[in-house]
Amino acid sequence: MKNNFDKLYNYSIQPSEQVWKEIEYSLDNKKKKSILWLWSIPALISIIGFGYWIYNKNHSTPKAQSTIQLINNNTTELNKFEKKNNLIVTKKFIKQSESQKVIINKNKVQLNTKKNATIQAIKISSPKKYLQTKLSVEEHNNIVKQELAISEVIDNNLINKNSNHYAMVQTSELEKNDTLKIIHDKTNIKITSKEEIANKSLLENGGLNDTLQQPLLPQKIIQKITWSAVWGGGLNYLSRKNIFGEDETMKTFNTLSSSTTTGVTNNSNAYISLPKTGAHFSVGVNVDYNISKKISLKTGLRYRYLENKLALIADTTPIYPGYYLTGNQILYINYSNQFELPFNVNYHINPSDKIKISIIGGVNLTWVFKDNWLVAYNFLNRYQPLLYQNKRLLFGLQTGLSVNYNNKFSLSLLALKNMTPVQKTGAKYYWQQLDMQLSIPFKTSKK
Amino acid sequence: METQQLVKACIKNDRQAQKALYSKYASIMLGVCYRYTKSLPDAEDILQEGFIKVFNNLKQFKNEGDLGAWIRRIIVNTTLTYLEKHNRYKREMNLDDIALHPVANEEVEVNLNLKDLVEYIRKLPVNYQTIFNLVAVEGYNHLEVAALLKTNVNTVRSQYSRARSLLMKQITEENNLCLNKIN
Repeated sequence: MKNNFDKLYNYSIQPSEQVWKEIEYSLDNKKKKSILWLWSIPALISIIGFGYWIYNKNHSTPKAQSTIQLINNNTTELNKFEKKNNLIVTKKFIKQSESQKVIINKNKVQLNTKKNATIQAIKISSPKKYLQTKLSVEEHNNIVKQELAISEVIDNNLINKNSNHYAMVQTSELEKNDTLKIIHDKTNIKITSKEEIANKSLLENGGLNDTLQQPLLPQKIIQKITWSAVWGGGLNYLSRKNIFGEDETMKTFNTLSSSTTTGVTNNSNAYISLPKTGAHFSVGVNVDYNISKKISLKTGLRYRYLENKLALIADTTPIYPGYYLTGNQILYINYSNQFELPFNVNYHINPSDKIKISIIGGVNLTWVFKDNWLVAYNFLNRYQPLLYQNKRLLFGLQTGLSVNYNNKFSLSLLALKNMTPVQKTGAKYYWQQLDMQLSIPFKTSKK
Repeated sequence: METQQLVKACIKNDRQAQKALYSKYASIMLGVCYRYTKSLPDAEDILQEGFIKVFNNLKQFKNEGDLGAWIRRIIVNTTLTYLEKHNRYKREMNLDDIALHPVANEEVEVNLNLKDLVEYIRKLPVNYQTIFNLVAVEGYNHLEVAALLKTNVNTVRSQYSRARSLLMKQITEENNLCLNKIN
């Protein structure tokens, strides 16, 4: 009979031709998949870059875009500019009426000019080019409301109390010959349409080389969003749970074999067959949306790499009942590549002006896209590739604490408990993770 | 073409070489898959999946050992993953020492052809079938089998013993039945 078993080792059956055809098809597809995979990295970088660009587009100070230009029938000399604090301040407007300056304080628009002076066109640029999108048709029909609309859209963060700044009236949203009444000066400004400005070749004359641009997102939302780069690292722990109660395997699960100095262990053969502890690091982008001073929402995209190992001194040869020789080692290794998508709610506490402490709670979606669980035997000099491979979506609960210093960086300690098992072999195995994260905003802003 | 050259060509995605490698080992590997499964289509599915893994991981083969043995390990692992994944096998894959089959201790000498023996093995419950194949045919020791199946050595020992006994019992009963018919 034993001979028969040995012969079975070489027992063979001719497969159908269809098998090779399907292998061939899969190999062709695999090539395409691997090419797609190569593209996913630059695609991810592009997404991050695009996000950064959107942020910069709406938050950064243009290099030389802050201009003011008043066109008067009597204009004889064009503007001259000088760079000051990242703003181009008009030194001289119009030769015949040098006193004409539009000054925007926190919430007021002033035009220091002769009363009832009529100006055909006004373009005032500020670092935030989209400030004027608030002006609506309905509003500009009412002169007073229109003025209020301007004051509303000025970003207080950009107003330096001790200096004059210039904001832009977006002429495209106003109609030709509309008038804007500035209450304080009681001065009328005649608005010229954007097309008319272009017709007057103002671009050639300088000062209007900055076209008006609409933001991609409503300004209110953009102002509340903070993008930051995040790096993290920490520990993983694999816990086992048998929802149907304790079974024989469960009983032996936590009684790991322990070798003695004599190399003999009295534990029959219990060991854990999965890597139980390990470490990970992550890198990605966080997006914070501030609902109020106290509460914000956090999401983002992070790449996480896990590596878990478990070396076991396993029993093999019985000496007498219940006692076994030890010395053979099995190494279980898990390499995992994941993308994480957190959805957290942060509650902020401000113990001082510069420090903000946040309590974090939420959920975490993890896409395990490349995950290998391997077994290596040192005593047999064998390596078993591809023992298991998991590709799955994990759902987890996340909580933690974060400390933010002056909006320059924040340090978070997060605990994640996955509710979806990573492995189901009789019992279920769940990852728990402890993660320390450092995040730095792409651009710091004042509170 | 020598094995080393064949492997190199396969790594370079040379389709002719890949087909040559497949042709060389496919029938014996299908024999492996067939012994672990209950149907030929399942065995062919595993063979297909296994060979895709072989071609995708051929870089890991260091030309030190026997290529056939290396491929066989991957095929066996693929088979185990398949059994674990598919419900019709998973349901039967009870590796706890409960609901055990009766043990017959006596060794039986019966003349069987290889095909019949394979069919007897395939009639065993999935857990016995798997452990029996791993231990008696592939030559894994109990510890290795325990690691592969993520269970403990005692379970493997007892289940292997019972699988062997059950197989003997089935063979004996069938043979007695045949003898009775002849008589």
